[in-house]
Amino acid sequence: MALLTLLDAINQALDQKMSEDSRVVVYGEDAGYEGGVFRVTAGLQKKYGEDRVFDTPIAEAAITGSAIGMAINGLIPVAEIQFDGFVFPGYTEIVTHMARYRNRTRGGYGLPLVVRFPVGGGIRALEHHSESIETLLGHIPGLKVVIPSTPYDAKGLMISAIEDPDPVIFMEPKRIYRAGKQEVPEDMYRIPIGKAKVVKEGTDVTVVAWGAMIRETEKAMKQLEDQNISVELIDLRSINPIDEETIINSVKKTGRFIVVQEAVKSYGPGAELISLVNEKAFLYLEAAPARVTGFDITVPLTKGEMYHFVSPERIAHQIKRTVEF
Amino acid sequence: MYDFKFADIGEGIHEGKILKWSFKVGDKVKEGETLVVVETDKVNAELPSPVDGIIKKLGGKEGDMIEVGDTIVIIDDGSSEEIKEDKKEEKKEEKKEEPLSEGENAPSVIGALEVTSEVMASSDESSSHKDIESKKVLATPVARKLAKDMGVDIQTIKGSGEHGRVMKEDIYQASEQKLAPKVERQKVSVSVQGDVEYVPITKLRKAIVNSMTKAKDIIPHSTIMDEIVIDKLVDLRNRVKEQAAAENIKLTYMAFIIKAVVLALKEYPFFNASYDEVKEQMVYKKFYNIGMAVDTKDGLIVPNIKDADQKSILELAREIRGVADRTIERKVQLHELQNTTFSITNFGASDLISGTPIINHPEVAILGVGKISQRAMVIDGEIKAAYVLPLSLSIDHRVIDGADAGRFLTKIKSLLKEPMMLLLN
Repeated sequence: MALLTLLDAINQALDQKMSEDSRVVVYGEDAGYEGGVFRVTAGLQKKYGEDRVFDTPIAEAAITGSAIGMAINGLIPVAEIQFDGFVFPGYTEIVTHMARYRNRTRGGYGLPLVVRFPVGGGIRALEHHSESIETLLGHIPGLKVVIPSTPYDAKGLMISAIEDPDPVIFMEPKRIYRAGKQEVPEDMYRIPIGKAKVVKEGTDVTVVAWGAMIRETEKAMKQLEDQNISVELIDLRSINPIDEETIINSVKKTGRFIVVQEAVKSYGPGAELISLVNEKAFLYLEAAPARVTGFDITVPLTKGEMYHFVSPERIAHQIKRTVEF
Repeated sequence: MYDFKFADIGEGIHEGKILKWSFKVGDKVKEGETLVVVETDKVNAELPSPVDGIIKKLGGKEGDMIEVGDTIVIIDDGSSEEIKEDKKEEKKEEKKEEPLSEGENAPSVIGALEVTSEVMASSDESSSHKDIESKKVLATPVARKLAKDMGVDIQTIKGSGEHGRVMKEDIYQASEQKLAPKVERQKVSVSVQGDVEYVPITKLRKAIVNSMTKAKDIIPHSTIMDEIVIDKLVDLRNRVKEQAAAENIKLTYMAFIIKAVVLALKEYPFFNASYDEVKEQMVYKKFYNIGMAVDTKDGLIVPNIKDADQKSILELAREIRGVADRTIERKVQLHELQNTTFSITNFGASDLISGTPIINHPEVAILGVGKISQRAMVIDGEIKAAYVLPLSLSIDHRVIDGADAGRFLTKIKSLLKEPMMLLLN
């Protein structure tokens, strides 16, 4: 098996699906000729031609809107929005049409398409380039929203997303695009959308994270190595639908629950997950469910961003507090 | 000298290829002029000179790869010091010229991606998470906290609630403190405005605070009152008090009253008892240690007369005086304060007719003795001057009923009314 970065793994998934299924098209701002700002789609235009891999104008509403049209007409578009913060001009199409086709046709047909974009900060970028918008998409009925944390998951989830009969928002944690490599099978494989993964089993506290926060939580766990705290780390992988079963079973076992999210605090995924735990595992709780999050501010620019983002120290601190509650 | 490194050019290019030099060693360069074109992922970045000066050294040939931190060029700008790099940051701009179509190994053009070759453990989807049966008992967070506060391991409790949920009641039972106050009373602070002085209370006062609070917290009090004509007792005492005085004994009414109380206690043993609320049992005491509330200048102290049932009235009188004196002088021994079975308080000593005494927990009753005074009483249809003794009896109403209290007090009354009965017993 080849050692791939998360970015390479997405590229491979796109390549393999395009090779297998001529309906798959890939496009976005700079996604064609240049292979994307981060090189996720590198090499695809050369291989599959300008009809299937192409650049768009800087017009996100057109990108998301045309994906709907293509999907209705039999293609499987994989549309790229260049950055998280650029989703907003295309948001109307996503929320008011894309998400509603299955419902609008009374279940008749959905839109087999993927909207993918890099998310999150930590790369010393500029404004609109560092945002975590899980809530803004996970909140919308009719959208599936996934986010991988490893190269292996990235490939498996991307293949599942392309094969899904309904729209899938595929968020790529850009901070870990190239941070680390993992063995990724050459063959195509699928990771079911809506299934979380227990990264590490433990008995004292359940920590749910996703995307780039998995790595930060693992660093926190390393810091706590000599503290005799058994952490169960769950990679949510799918923002919507939420894998209730995995989370609730884990909390029933540990009695303690922490959510780590890069997104700002208020109304974030952490709030939803804690509500879920309160609804379904209330009688098992040994400690108040807690969340480690960004602050309720616009993501700071380069100089300040690391003060804003969740650090392994903050996660470790909360784990200790929750276990000692 | 100016060491111009390939660094942050504002958007964090990680590495690049030197595409074209605009100058060679020895050339003069002006600040802002393009020094070199560096090829990154998708753009060719023109790097402008940060200073005026003469090119002293180039960091590489055209076609060489350079990484962030590598020296691109050294410029003699006339200064002997190196200028900090920060200054140049904002001046640089990248321009999208000949975009690259390839370059997988190069990172992004926007932001600084962390690039590592760290190998992650491989994912194994096949070893999926087994659902482990939870070993936790069901309980609300409130119940868990209660168990923790009470020092009970909630995991060991079998719950009586829905689906075996551990209820608060289960926890009380488990801790054998079923009837313990569920919520400890909050201490209340006092805020007073005006000219006040704050004085710490003595240890004795703290003990009184605690015992009184405890008694009133735990025991549901009820007090009954009556009065009796004790002309015969007054007469008896007057007749013998001189002889007693000759033996250096101050014969007080209290000695007679204690005698009467002991006789009544023998007939009604549940007044010489305690109630164990944990075991839900009465504790009958086979000894009679009669406590007397003694007023000292520091506060109330209740020593007791040990084995009062085995003592004559004269012996009691002598002991009452001795214990009271030692108590007032604060010389009373600890054992004299312990293990009281029934207490008497003397309102008369404070010139009071009556009061509602507070039971000395864990006792179950206390007798209040009022001031003996001559009053106009109707006796056999005529108004006569008579000596009257008011009595009040507080009972623990959990274990003593009002009728029992009446019978007990009646017994005392009859003995004091006919004091010869005291002597015969």
